[in-house]
Amino acid sequence: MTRRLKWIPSLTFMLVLCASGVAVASGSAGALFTEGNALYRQGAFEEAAVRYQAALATGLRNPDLYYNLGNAHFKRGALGEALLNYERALRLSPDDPDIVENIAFANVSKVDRFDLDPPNAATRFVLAFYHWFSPNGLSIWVSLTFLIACVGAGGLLLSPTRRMQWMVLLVSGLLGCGVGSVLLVTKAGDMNTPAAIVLAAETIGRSGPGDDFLQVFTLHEGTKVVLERNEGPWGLVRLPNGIGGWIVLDAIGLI
Amino acid sequence: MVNGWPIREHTGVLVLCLSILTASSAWSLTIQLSADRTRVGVGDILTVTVAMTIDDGTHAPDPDLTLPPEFDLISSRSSTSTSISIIQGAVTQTKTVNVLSTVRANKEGTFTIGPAGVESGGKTLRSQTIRVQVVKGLSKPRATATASRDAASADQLKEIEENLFIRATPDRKSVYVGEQILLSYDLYSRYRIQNPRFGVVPPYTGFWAESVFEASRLEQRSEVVNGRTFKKSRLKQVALFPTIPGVLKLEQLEFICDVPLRSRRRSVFDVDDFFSWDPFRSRQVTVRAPDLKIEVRSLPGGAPESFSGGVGVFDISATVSNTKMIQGDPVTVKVVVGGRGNIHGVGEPLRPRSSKFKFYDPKGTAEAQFQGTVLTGSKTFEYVAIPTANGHIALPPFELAYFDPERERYVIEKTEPIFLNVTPSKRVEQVSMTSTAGTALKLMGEDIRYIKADAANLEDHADYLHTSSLFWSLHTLPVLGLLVAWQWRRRQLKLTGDVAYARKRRSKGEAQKRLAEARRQLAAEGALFYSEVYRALSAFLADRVNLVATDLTADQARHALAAKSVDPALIDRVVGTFEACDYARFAPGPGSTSDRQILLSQTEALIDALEQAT
Repeated sequence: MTRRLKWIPSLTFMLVLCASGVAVASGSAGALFTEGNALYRQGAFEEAAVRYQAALATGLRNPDLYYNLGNAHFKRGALGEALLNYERALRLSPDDPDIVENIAFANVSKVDRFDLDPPNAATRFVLAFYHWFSPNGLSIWVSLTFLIACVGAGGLLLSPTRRMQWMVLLVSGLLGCGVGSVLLVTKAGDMNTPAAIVLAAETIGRSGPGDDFLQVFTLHEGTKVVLERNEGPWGLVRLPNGIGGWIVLDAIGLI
Repeated sequence: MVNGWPIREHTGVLVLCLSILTASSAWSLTIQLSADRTRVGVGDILTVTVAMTIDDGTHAPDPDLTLPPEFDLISSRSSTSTSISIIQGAVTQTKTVNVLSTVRANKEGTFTIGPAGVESGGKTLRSQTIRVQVVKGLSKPRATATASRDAASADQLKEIEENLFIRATPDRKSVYVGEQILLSYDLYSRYRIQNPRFGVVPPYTGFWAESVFEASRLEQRSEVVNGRTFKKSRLKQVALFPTIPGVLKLEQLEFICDVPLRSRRRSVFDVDDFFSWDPFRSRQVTVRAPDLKIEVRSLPGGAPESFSGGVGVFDISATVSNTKMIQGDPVTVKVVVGGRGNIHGVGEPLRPRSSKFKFYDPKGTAEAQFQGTVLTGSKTFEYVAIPTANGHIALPPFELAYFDPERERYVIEKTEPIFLNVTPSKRVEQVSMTSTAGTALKLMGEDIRYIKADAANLEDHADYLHTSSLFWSLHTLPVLGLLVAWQWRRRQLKLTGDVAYARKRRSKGEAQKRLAEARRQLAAEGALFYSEVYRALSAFLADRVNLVATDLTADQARHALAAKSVDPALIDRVVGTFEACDYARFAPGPGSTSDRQILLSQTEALIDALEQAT
């Protein structure tokens, strides 16, 4: 197996995490977040990351927390961990320009490149609309448009006058609700699809779940993949260009 | 070709590719060890490859390979390839160094090759090892000429050796390391040989070998040797470039053919011999070239800094992709080394030391061909250079030293300086802006966006609305509201469109109003109470059966109720009530209050019963 793990910094990071665990366990998530920010400002990025991790360990899921953790990892040179946390933040807050910008910035440092055809204008518009909404935002959109459709239908039932206005309200509500529902179902599907980021510096994709299988490709830190299924310590991942291969699960982190 | 460099083609399949080593992120360096086989015979040749990948900014020497004493290192050569990517002005490069070592196993057993190691930054990075099994060799020595089909007599062998042999002729027997030797193999035969073919082709241990000529069919010409006429055929010519000094032994070339042999019968009365006699009988014969030793001299000391292994006569030239550029933009510098000699052994020229340029490791390609029997060719090194200054600046010369074996001295060749016009960076100009003080602000670098601000209370985004059953169940409320509105609207339409229905729906209310009026007249003397009770009942009945109340008599009520299949007892109660009211209204004396109370209660009960019945 030609896999190169950045185990020394990771081990150091884990040791620092363990050492700091007792100290930070008692703090609230907000206090830990503030502590992490203070350490970040001092340039102590590893310690800042430990605080942010401790805040996450309280069960809190917050995009700002993931974002700051991603920044701390980026500053300490862990590109894969940085992108993993940026992606987690993006799932919670897809319209945050800071997250989008930092993902783009970190992606420049990645080794792997995929030459994909750029989407056309219509696709870009739909994608922008899709990415602009968070899952909760889409849920609220669907609810509001459904309510508008109901009001339109109610108006048509109860008020014999202004039928055209009620009809417009009904149709626009139904259209908005339909589009929102499709996007919500797609987004929910995306969220249930276990995407992952390569954390190892380099890992080999093989044609089967084992070291004896043929090498198909080599992935590097920071590359985003879709995990399709697991078999023991191996997982079948799909690359953005459609190529699939088996890599060791230790080399990736699920978003 | 591997990584742009020609190498001797591997005949076997790569059966083992073992391991990478762990490497720290700080090094950005990996090393990998592989072998073309893991099971070989004694005396067989094995190719071991050490592949080292180095990221930008990391400097490392060529890796060292640890060999067990049972293996001899025959030759070693390295090739380098460089991958450069330029993204938004940021240049990163990865260099891959492949060191191919040819080794020979000398003893049976299982041995460990490796690890390969490299030192960088005071630390040593090592690869994993490879286990190789060495079994009894296949390269058995053979007689100079042997008849292998069946046992040949000594006379026959002697006859074959005298009439069939190979001569191996080097054009020189004493050379410098890297200097070309032309080795020719000629077959001398007095037989009409058949099925000629090569047997064992030597690996030329200690030499880099390039085939010049190899016979596909035997071209024969006559030549007298020791007073006897032979047919001479050129079998093979190979150009050899020694890689190590010393007295090197050249392995023997084997050639196989069928030779027709005469056979004499001993006696015409020898029956067995008579039937086995075959005038066209032939024998398969393996002919081996004699041993040869070549003296290889070391190159003299005092090699210039720019000497990279070239032995022969070479020249060097450089060109650039463009001479006008923007500061910071890359320019490709192509340096070509050409000439005759061991072109494959020529390494990278000495790069100019200039603070005005940043050079990245080159990508190399090589071309080689024979002009006659002399190897000539060129090697091209493509550098990516970034000008770090602007103005009319000169790209200093690249330098290459080689050893000229004819003049027996080192020669230094240099490229001509190339002048470039470099303008200041546009990127910097584009992002310049003017401050209020009038001085230009320049974007000096880019970084990730800063962290989010402190927050005492972070909002938890753990729950998604679309996974909440409560959220979706709330959506039933507008639907229920719509259903209620639809029902109300339906009822309203029915009330306005169906008079009988509307009267029926209102009948009870109207009757209760009248009964309430009758209740107010309960204590009053006179017929008013009974009139109200009568009107309440008659109006109720008229609404229920959709008749005109003023025309409703007791008989009409009986018929109408009978038509609706109302219980006769109930009908009798209705008629009785009507009659009681009529009697009280027109009788001379009013009844008591209690009688009126009873009548009122009976009428209320009657209306309730009629509501159910109609």
